[in-house]
Amino acid sequence: MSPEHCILKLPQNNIGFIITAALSVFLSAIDGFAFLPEFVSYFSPNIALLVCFYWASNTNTNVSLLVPFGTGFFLDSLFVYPFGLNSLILCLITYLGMKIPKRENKAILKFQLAGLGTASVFAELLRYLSLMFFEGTTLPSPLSLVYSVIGTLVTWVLVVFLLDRWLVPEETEVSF
Amino acid sequence: MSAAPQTSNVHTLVSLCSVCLICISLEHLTHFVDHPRQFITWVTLGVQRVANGYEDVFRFSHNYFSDRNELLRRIDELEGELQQSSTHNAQLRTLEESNVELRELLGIQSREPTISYVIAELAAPIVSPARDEVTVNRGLTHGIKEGSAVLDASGVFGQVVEVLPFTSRVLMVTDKRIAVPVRVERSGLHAILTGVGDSKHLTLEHIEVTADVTEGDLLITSGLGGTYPYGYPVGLVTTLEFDEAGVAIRVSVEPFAKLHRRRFILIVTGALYSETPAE
Repeated sequence: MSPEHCILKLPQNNIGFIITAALSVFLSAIDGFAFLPEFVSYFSPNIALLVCFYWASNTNTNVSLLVPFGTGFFLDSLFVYPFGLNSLILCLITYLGMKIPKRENKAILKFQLAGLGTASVFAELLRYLSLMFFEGTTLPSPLSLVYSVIGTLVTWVLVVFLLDRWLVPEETEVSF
Repeated sequence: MSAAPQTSNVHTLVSLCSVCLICISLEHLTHFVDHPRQFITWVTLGVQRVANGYEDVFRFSHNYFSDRNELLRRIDELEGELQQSSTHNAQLRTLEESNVELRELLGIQSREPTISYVIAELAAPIVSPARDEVTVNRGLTHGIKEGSAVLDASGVFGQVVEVLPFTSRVLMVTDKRIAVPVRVERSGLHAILTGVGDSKHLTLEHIEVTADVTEGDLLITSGLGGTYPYGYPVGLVTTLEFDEAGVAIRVSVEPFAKLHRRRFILIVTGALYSETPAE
């Protein structure tokens, strides 16, 4: 096997983006909290947001905004959010990710983490506010927001670790 | 990156965000997006079923590899439980008969409901304790109606607020939009129980200071209003607090239903009240 030929690797193009986005919807659908203590559900990370942010900020791919747009509708349907809310959030965060410098050194990594933290807070706030406006729900305790953001930031490390190893440059020949 | 793709990205972003905002508004104001939403829900139902298939695999392999002694022990346990349930049932039947006789003696009409229900499974994970809403995999085609009461094995779970052909949205009792007519089992006091948006507490508002309610009292559905059938447990009174003016008390109630832990729930599709006039 030539070094240019990689098995079970994803290409760094929009096909790879679609595959990882679909996988993030699948992982979000796992109701794994039934076996765990209730407080664990407070730390639920926003996996789709992490995947979109990763593709936009860590790859040289000219990512298509249609992928987060489509992914968002599936999440809205899955989690019973107003139809279009997650698409809006994911599109904005993917665009924000495109504007952040690519990860090359630790300083930029910190900058990315700060950007992701801000994006995550923004996403949660937008969700809560839209639910308050459209469905009249009450604002949850600020701790719920903090836990969710912490969960997302911690999972970011795992997402970066896995996707860094799974993706290969677009020029590489990929086979399954 | 050159200027052209950047401008193109901005244009795409603005267009897509506009579509999202239009979808959100349309869903809020009309039922225009119900069909696309229903279609996507169909797909996500399948995804969710596959994603949570590990539970079925786990259950199957657990059953498959359980040894004979374990199974025999389990059968003994279940037989014991069945025996207990049969004894309780017999007692309940006796009580029911006595109740009918007493009602006849007193000249009160019997209004014992026959409840029909549909078993539903959560169609989407509960993403956050902040949400008091779930989607279940039963809808119009299964006879679910808007406003139907929802129960679980422990007590009252909530109410159906939206019915689509194959799925329904259920608000839990802890949602502040839900009000359940209840009765204090010990004293017979009637009240309205409402959610406060906290998954662990419900509240009885505007209860007079002199009302007969104490900590540890059991609340059951009163059957008034016709939504929730009579006699289902709702929760236990945990604390009593005086309001600022000191003329009323606020009663905190801990719900019985395991709201964030249930996979299967019962949706009441009909409560048939047999009117049997007394002699």
